[in-house]
Amino acid sequence: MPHMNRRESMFRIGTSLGSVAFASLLAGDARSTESTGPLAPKPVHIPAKAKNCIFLTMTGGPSHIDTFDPKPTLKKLHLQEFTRSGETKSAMESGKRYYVQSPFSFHQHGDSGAPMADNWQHLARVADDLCFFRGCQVDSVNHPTAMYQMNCGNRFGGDPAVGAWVTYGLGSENSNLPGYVVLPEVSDPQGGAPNWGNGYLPAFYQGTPLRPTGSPILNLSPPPGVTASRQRNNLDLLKAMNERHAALHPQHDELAARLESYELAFRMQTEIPNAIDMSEESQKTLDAYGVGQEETDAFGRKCLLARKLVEKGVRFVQLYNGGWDSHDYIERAHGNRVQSVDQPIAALIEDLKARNLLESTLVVWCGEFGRSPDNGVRGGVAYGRDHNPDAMTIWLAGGGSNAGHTIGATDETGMSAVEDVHHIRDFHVTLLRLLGLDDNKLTYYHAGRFKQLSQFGGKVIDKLIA
Amino acid sequence: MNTNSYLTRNDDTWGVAPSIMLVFTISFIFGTKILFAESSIPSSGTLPIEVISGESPFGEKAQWQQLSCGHAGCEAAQWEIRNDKLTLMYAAHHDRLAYRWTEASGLTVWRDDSPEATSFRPDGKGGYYVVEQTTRQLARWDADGKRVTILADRFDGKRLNRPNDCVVHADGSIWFTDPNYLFKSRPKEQQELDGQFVFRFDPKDRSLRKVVTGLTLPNGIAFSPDGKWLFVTDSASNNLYRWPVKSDKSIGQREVFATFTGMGNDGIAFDPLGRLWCCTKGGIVILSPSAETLALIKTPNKPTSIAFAPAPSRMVCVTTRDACYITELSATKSSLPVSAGMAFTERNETSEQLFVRRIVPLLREKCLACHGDDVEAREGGLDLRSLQTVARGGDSEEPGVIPMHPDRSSVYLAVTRNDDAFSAMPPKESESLAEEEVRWLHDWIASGAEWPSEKDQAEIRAKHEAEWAQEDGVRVRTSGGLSNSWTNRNYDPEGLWAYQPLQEAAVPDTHENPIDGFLQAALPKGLQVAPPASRRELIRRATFDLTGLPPTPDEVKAFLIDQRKDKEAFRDVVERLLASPHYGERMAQHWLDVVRYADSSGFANDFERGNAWRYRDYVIRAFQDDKPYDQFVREQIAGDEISPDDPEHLVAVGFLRQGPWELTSMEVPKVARQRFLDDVTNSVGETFLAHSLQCAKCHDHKFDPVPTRDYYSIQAIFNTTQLAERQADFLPLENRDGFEEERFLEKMEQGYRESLAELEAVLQHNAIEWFDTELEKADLDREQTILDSKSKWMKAVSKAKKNRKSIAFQKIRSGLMQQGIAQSDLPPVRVGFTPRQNGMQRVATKGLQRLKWELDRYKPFALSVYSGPTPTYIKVLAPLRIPEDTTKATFEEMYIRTGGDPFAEGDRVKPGVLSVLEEQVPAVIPEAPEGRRKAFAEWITDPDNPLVSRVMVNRIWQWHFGKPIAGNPNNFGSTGGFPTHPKLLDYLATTFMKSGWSVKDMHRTIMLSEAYRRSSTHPDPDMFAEQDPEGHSFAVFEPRRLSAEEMRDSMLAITGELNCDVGGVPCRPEINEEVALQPRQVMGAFAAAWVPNPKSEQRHRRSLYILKLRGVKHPMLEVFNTPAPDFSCERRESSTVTPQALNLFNSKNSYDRSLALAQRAWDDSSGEIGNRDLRALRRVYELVLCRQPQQEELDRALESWRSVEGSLPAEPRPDSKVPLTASREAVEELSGERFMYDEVLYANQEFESDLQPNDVDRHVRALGDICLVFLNTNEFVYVY
Repeated sequence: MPHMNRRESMFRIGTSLGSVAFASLLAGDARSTESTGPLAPKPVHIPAKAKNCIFLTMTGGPSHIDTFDPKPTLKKLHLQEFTRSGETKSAMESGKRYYVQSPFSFHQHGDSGAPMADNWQHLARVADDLCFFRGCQVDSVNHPTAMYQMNCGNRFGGDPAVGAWVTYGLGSENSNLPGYVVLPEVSDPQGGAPNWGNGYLPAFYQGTPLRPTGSPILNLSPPPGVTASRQRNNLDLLKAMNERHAALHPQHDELAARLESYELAFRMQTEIPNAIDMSEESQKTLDAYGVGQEETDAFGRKCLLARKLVEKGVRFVQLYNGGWDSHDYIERAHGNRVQSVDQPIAALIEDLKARNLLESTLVVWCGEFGRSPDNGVRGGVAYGRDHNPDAMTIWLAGGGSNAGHTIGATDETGMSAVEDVHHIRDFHVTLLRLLGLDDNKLTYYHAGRFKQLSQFGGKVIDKLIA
Repeated sequence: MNTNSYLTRNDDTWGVAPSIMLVFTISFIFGTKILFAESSIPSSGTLPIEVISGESPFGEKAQWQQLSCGHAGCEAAQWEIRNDKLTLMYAAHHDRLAYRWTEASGLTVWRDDSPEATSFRPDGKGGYYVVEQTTRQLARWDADGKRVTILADRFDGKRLNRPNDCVVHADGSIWFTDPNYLFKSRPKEQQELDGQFVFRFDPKDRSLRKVVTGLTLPNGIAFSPDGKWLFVTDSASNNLYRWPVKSDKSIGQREVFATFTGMGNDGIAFDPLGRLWCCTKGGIVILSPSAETLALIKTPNKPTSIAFAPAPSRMVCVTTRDACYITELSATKSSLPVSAGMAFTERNETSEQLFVRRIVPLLREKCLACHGDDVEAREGGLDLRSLQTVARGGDSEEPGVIPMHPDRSSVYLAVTRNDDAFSAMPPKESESLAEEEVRWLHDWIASGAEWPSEKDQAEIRAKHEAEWAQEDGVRVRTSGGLSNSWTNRNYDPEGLWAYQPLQEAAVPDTHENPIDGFLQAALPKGLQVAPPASRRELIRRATFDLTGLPPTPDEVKAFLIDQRKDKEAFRDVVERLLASPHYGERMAQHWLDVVRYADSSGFANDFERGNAWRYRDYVIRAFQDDKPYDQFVREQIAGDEISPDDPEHLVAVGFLRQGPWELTSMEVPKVARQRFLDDVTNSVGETFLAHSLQCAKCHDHKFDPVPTRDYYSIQAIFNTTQLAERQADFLPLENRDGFEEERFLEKMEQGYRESLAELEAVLQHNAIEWFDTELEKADLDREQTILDSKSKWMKAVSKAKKNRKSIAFQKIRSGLMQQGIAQSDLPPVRVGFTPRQNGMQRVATKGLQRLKWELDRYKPFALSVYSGPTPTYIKVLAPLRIPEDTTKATFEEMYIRTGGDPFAEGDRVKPGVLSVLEEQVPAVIPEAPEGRRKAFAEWITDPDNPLVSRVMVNRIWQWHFGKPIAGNPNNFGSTGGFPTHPKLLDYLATTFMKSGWSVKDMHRTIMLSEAYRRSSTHPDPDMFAEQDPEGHSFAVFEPRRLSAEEMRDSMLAITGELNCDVGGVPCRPEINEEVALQPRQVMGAFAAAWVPNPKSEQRHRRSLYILKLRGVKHPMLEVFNTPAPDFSCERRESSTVTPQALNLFNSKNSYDRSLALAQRAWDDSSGEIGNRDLRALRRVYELVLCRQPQQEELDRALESWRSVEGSLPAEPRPDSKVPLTASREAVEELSGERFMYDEVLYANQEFESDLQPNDVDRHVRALGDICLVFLNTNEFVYVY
C-alpha cells in the first residue's frame, strides 16, 4: 500500500488543523472539537445504543465460583480427591488435587435474583443493571496468553486490542484526547503494553495509558522550569522555520501535518490535566466512589476518571485491577480484591445512570479466565483455586446489554460451561455489535489477508443483547 | 414520430404468475428441460447469419466469423486504419482484456489489465478516448494502450457513476453515457451522483458539462452522420431517444425515436448508408433515418455493440455478451419493409456450462462450509449441496433459487449484499463475491439454473477443459491439497509471477545505467523526470541511506567543492560510505526488522536472551564484510550443520530463535514446541521466500499454490531442530568492552541471596514459633505428634547448620514430609511471613532465576540450535544447554496438524520444500535428523530458485527508495503487490547473483542510477500527480522521515556525544523515569527496573544496541514507529501522531541533546573574529541541517535566542538526580494485600549525568532552546 502513510498523515492535518478546533478550545468547550481524519467519528455498521465502552479488566483470573456463580455441590465434595487427565496437561496440574468449597456465602439480589457473594455489598444494589454471562470459554490456561486473547483475540500478542478495533471502527469524539485510554495498575500486567497495542492497525488507534503516577502521558509537559511562554517562543521559531521549509517543498503534504501536530501537542498540555482534574467533583461523588478510603482509593479514582473521560468523548476506557490469581488463601485474597473494586464499580454504574450515560456506555467486567473448583496442595494450608479456561463469569451493564438476566450456566462444580457455551471470539463479536460494529466488516488487510478481532469470524450472542 | 414495438419472448418471464412459477420449480427439480430447446451453436469458427425479417444487409455468402468467445462480457467494437492496416478493437471488459485484430496478424491481446474499458474512440492523434468501468472515468490512452491522462472522473466533485460508451463529435468534444450499472454487485463502490446523465467533455478547455438528464439507464450513444442529432438508448425505459445538437454545443428537445420491448438495449451505430443499427434484446434492429425498421437480424447471443469499418471496407463487427463476430455488408444499397420479429432464445448450454465452470467452484469455495455436509455447522437450515435442497430453501422457506428469476432467488439476493430481506452472504465482507461471481450466479439462474448430474458435469468439464483452462488460468503442480478441487484449481498467471524463472530481458540501451533504461521504458508517456538533486541533498540522502547518520559538515564541504562531474564525485562518496563502519549497522537494522530481533523472550517471564546480541553483531559483520548473500542465508538457517565447530556459524543460526518463546509450568509442552515450529516455519518463509506460510497452517492456501502439506513438509525440516544456548568461543572481532558491567548483576545477585538468607532466618524463627503455638493449642494426641515433628525438625536444622547449608528451610520441610510426617504437622512454606517478606522472597527467587539468563550475556554461549531428537522439558526456567542425556529425547515424526491443532494428526509428511518450485529446483532433503536444514538452505539459495534473489534485491531497492518494486517484500503471492517493474526486478536479481551475491555491489548499481540521484521536487507537480497518481514511476525521489533510530542517533552524532563503537552487549540509555521504573509483572514477581548505564559514552551508543525487551519499549523509538518484535516488519511505518511532538519537544532527552549541541556550537565558534553568536548559529545550521543559513534566517534565530535568554531565570533548574532505589508497591496475590519493597538500583550509584543546565552559562542555556527547535524542524526530520 504505497502512499498509505502519506494519506494517513493528510487526514491527520484535518485532525489537528484547524482554526475551528483551536478556537473552540480557547472558548473552553472541548467536547465540540470533533475529530476529523482517521479518528473522526464514523458511522456505525448497525444501529446500536452503546457509543462508549468502559472495560474493567480483573487480571489474574477472578473465580466465578467465589463471586457470581455459586456451586453448593462443592460443599459436599470439599477436600475429596479430584483428578484431571488428558494430553493437554501442564505441569501446573500435577500432584494430588482436591475439591475446594467456596469460603463465601451467597444471596440473591434485585428483581432478577442474581446470586452474588456476600462481600459484593455495593454491587448488589445494581444487580438488576447487570447481565451475567457464564458461558464463555477461552483457549489458554496461562496468564499472558489468556490476557492477549481476552484483549486482542489472539493468544500470541501483537494483534490490535479491542479498544483499538473499536476506535478504528467508530473514531473518536474529541480530537484533543486519545480515543482509547488505558488506566493500568501501578504495575503493568503480564504481557505488558501489547495488551493495549494497535497491532497492525495504524498507530492512531493505540491505547494511551494514563499513568497513575508521574506525568499521565509521557512528556506531556516540558522539564520543570520551562514556562508556557518560553515554549510558545520556541514553538513560534519552529513554526517560522517549518513554514519557510514547507514553501520550498510544496508537494510534500506531510510537512503541514507535522507542523500542526505540534500545535495540538501544545493544546493537549492543558487539555489533559483538565480532563483528569478531580477538583471539580463534589465530595459526595468522591465519597461515593470510595476516593480517599485506603482500600478503594486507587480503583475509585480510576472509575471516576473513566466516567469523566467518557463524558469528554473518549471512546474506550480500559481499567485494570490486578491480583486475582488466588491459588491460595482465596478468602483473604479475593475478599481483598472485591473490597477494592466493589464500591467504585457500583458507584460508577449509579453515576452513569444518574447522568443518563449508562444507556450509551457499555460496561464490561471480566478476567482472562475463570478458576477451577479444585486445587493442588501448594504448600499452603488455606485454600485457593487454579486457572480454568473452560468457565468464567463476565458481566455487562448498560449500552443495550440484556440487564437483569443471567445467560449460560456452568456444570455443578463450575468446571466447565455447559449452557450457551461460546468461545471468547463470540463474546468479542457481541461486544462489537453492542457498539454498532460488525466484526465481519471491521477488518484490516495485513500479511496477506483481512484480519478481524475474532480472528476468523464468530457469532453474535443474541441473548446478551437487550 | 414513429414508435416500434418488438415483443420478445423472454420478457414474459417477468410477469409469470406464482402458480406457474411453482410448475417451473418442480420441473426444475426433476431436471426436465422444458424451458429451452437444445441449441446447436458451436463455440468457434463460422456461423450462418439468420435474418429474422427484412432484407439482409449482408453479402450473399456472409457468415458470422467468430473472433473470440466465452467472455464474461464483450463490447466496444471499433474499427480504424492503423499503420495502414484495417484494424479492429474490442474488449472483453470483465475479463479485463482489450483485443486488436487485423486480417494479417489475426487476434492479439492488446491489454490484459484493462480497467474494464467499454469504449475506445480514436482521438485523431494515434491514441484513444476510453471509458473505464473499474476506475469510473473518461481517459486518454496512447497507441500502446497505456493511460496517458484522466480526462474526467468527477462532476461537481462527485465521482462519475460508470461511464459506459463514448463518441467523439466532429467538433472534437467527447460525449459519454454514465449509467449506474454494477453498484449493486460492487457494494464497496458507491454512487455519488444523484442521477444518470450524458456528459460532454471538451478537451480544449477540459470542461465537463452535463448535457442530458432524466434518463434511467443511458447506454449506447451515437451522432447522426451529419453530426446534427445525438442518439442515446436508455436501457431501462426501453426508449431510443434523440436530441438536436445546436451550434452552441447545447442540445434541444428530446424525442423518442424508437421503443424496444424488453430491457437491456445496448450499443447503437450508423452504417455507411446512414442506417441506425441498434443492439436490442431480440437481436439487431436496423432503423431508417425516419425510424422505420428495415431489418431484424438474429445474433448468436445478445448483441452489445456494433461497428463499421471505414470505407472502402465493408466490414462490420458485432459483439455479443460473450463473443465477437465480424462479417461483411453487401455491396448494394437496399431499403426493405418493416416486419415484426422474434427473439432468439438463450442457449440452454450456457446454464449447464456456467454451472460446471463457475457455480460449482463458487459454491464450494464460498458457501459449502456453512451450507454443506456438516449438519451441525449448517447455517439457517440452508443446504446448498443439491438442486432439491437449494430450491427448498432454508429456515425462511424462501426458495434459494427460482430458475430464470435471480431477483426472486434468495441465494442471489443474499450475495448481492444489497437486499434488506436477506442478510449479506458470505457474512464476512472481505469474502464478498466478486462482481463477476455475482454475475455468474445471476446468469446461471436467469438462464434456467440447470444442475446437471455428476456424470454430466464430468462430461461437460472434460469437453471444455482445455478451452477453459486457457481462459480461467493455469494449473499448477504442487504436492497436492487436502482436497482434489484445491489440487486441480487454476491460477491467474499474473499471481504466479514470482515462480517464473528469472527473465534476462534485453537491457535498454537508452541510458548508461540499465536501471534508468528500465524505468524510462515504463515511464508514463510524456512524464518528465525530476532534475538531479543538489549535491547537498544527495550527500545527506546517501549518508543516511548507508549509515543511518547525517554527513559531517566537513564531508558536505568536501563534496560541494569537488570539481569533478557529479557522478564521479558521488561515486567516491558512495565508496566512502560503503566502507564506513556504520554501514553494517545500518543494514543490520533493516535486517533485524525483518527477523524480529529482540533481547528477551516475551510472554509471562520475558526472560532476557543474554546471548542474542551475538547474532545481532553477526548480522552487522555480514553486511560490513559484504558476505555473499547466499552464504548469509545458509548460515542463518543451517550454520550449525554446515560447520559445527565455527562459533560464527553457531551464532548465525540465532536467526531461528528470534520468535517469542517460553515454556512455563503453566503451559502444555507440546503446545510450546509447536509454537516454535510454527514460528520458524513462517519466519523462514517470509524472510527468504517472501511467502507468508502461516496461511497454510490450518488449510491449503486460499490464493497461492501452497498446500498445507507443504507447510508441514517445510516444518518437518525443523522437526529435529532443538533449542540450546551452545558453547561458542568469543571471536577476536566481537566487542567485549561492556563486560565490566557484569559486576552490577553480581551485586544484584548478592542482594537477592542476602535477602533470602535473611528470610531463611525469619522462617527458622517462625517455624519454632509455629511449633510452640501448635503445642499450646494441641490436645494430648496431637501434642505428641507435634513434639515428635519438632524434634525431628530441630535435628535436621542442626545438621544443616553443620553442613553450612544456608537455605535449608524448604529442604528440611520436604525431607521430613518424605519421611512420612504429615504436612499439617509441619510449619507451612511461608510460615509467619508478612506480606512484605512474602513479596521479597518472590522477588529474590524470581530475580535469581532472571539473572541466570542475564549473566549468560558474558559467557561464551550462542543463542543457537542443534539437530537431534526432541528433549522432554516440563518447564524452562534457565538458559538451555544441549542435554548430555538424550535418552529422554524422542525423534518425532511430522504429521499434518489438522486444522493447525498440535494434537490432531493427519497424514505423515517427509521433510520437503515449496512443491510449486520443485520441478524448477529439485530438492533432496535427508530424512536423518541431521542435515535437513543444510539441504533446505541449499535449495533456497540455488541460483535457479527464482524467489531468493528477487526477494533480497526487492528489499535493497526499498531500503533506498522507500518503496519496493514488488509491493510487499514479505509476500510475493497473489495477495501481495505485483512488481511495478518486473523486468527491472529480474535484471537486478540476475545482476545480484552474477556479482557473487554482493549486497554492496547492489548499492553501487542502484545509487549511481539517475533515478536515485533525482531531486524530490518535480518541476511540474500537477502533471506528475496526474500521470503517476500511485507514485510508481520513480520519476522523483520520494522524501522520507528519518526512522526512530536515525533520529536518535543523528541527535547524538550532531552533539558529538555519539559513541561510535561497533557491536557488543546491549546498552541502556536514559529513558523517561515513568517507564524505567514502571513495575513489570513477570510470572509471580516483578522484573528489575530499567537502570541506565552509568557512563555517558555507554548510554550514547547507536540505537541498534539498545537493549530490546519485549516488555519495555524505548519511549522515543516506540512513538517514531520502531516496530514491535512480534511480527516481521517488511516496511517501516512513518505516521505522524501527536505523541511524537510531545516526545521530541518536551522530553529530557531532547533537552539534554539540545544543551550539548548548544555547548558544542558555542565551543566551536570561539576564537574567530566577528559576532560569535552568529558564528554559533551558523555552526548549528551546519551540524543539524548540513547547510549555511540565509541572513534573514540568522536574524530570526538570533531574535528568538535573545527573547529566550531574557525570559530565563537567573538560576537554572536544579539538575535532575537519578534514583538509587525504586519503591515497588504491589498486590500480594496470595493474600490480596498490598506489599512494598525497595529495589536497589546498583548502576545508578555510579551514574554520571550528561551535560546539565548548571554546567553552562545562561547564554548557552538559551541557545539550547534554539537548538531544541532545530532538532524539531521538518528540515532535520526529513530526508530529501
